[in-house]
Amino acid sequence: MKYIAKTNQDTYNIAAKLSKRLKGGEIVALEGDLGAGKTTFTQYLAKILGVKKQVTSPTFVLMKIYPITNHQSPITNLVHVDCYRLDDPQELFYLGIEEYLNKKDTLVVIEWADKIRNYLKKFKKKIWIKMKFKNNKRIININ
Amino acid sequence: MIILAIETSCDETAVAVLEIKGQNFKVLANLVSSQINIHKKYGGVVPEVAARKHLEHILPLLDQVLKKAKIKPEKIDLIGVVNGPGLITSLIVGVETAKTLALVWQKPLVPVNHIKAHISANLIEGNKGKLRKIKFPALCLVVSGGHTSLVLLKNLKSFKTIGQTRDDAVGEAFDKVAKILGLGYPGGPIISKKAENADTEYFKLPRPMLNSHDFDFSFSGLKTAVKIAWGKEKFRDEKMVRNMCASFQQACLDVLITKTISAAQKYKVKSVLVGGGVAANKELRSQLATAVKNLKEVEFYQPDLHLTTDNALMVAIAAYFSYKEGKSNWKNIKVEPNLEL
Repeated sequence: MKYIAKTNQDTYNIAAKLSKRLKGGEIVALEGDLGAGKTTFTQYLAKILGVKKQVTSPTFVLMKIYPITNHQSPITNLVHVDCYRLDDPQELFYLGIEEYLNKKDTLVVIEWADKIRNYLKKFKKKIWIKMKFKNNKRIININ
Repeated sequence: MIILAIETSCDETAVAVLEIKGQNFKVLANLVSSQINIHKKYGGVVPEVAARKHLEHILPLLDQVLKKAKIKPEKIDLIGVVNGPGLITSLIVGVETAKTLALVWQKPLVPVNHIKAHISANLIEGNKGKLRKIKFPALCLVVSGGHTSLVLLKNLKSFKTIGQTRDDAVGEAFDKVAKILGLGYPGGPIISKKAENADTEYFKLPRPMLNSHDFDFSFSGLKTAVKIAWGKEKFRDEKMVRNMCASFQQACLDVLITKTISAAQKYKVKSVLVGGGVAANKELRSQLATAVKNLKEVEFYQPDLHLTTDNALMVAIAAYFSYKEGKSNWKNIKVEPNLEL
């Protein structure tokens, strides 16, 4: 499904639409260049799902975990991963990512997921999102 | 009191020995095994490489530091180690080493928050002398590759974050902009060098959140603005690279300095401090110093240049002050990658 976002509100609405599909255990894989809007998209998604804390770039620590306190949602944890400075997916394994991938009550959002495409093959329930910033518009392809 | 400190929260392995007697301090040894050469070819810190290098470096470094300090383990009174925030696989190398030493040598061990350590770097100047008497309340701008925040200190025990980045850290923005411009890693020193004598107004870049009426920051959109402006630029020669570096750097500094000054006024602080790797940026140091000078009766302190980037000496200072608050058991010390102040 292809969406075009001209404003932040549009991006928010697309994230809201996606959030309705999420039941827990999914992996949201984000692909797109610097400035494509991956972090903003994740921030909106987190907010909609009920994350109270400010979601910030995980580039430095690779992985951040946020509790979700919205009682209507079956998802109780959002794990935000960033592969920007990653060379070897093995490192994610050391960080303990496999405790979260496809776990029923957890949603994992991965930025720069294309860098670990092969590693992610063995996991289920993936939603692959390609983002592109062009002519002041954000093209968001949700698969 | 003689303090041994260890820091491995990101890409630097660092060990230091510091002596504090009353108000006097003396640096006995302070070594950082810089990994810049290893990371250059990857255009960033590769975490897996970082953790492995910490393991390779930590024991030889510890050995060298003790020799340089001419100190036997039994003379050490306290061990301090950074337990967060940082990269979990890197932090664990320092923490486990420190715990082992504490157990074998039977010494007290205190965990140190990496941000507190950066702030504590302001307490010393040079290799020996008196600890700086900072007037409180104080405000510290913490700027690095992983952090951008404003911290209010009522004293050396009470730290409160009053504002922080909502997305990317400022040092991260420097790294990513350097990548967009095809410059090397780390981005901070390269951009700052290229920005010298270039046109800070050539590219019209936004000052994100300048008028947000709080003390939060945002640098993600600024990075995107650089990317867009750079994409549109027809003449991407050296002169334009320099202009972009200057324009981008000034956009960052305008926001950092304006927010620091308005927080200083709101909280009526008596001193302003700065810490973290980006505090090595020459323009930030001089422009912030000038801006603080215009406030009445507010002192400005900045750490020695070599204490802005990650090092273990700042950890030793912080360990000394937190030890005075109360001891902790090495068994309870855990690595906390998302540790807050």
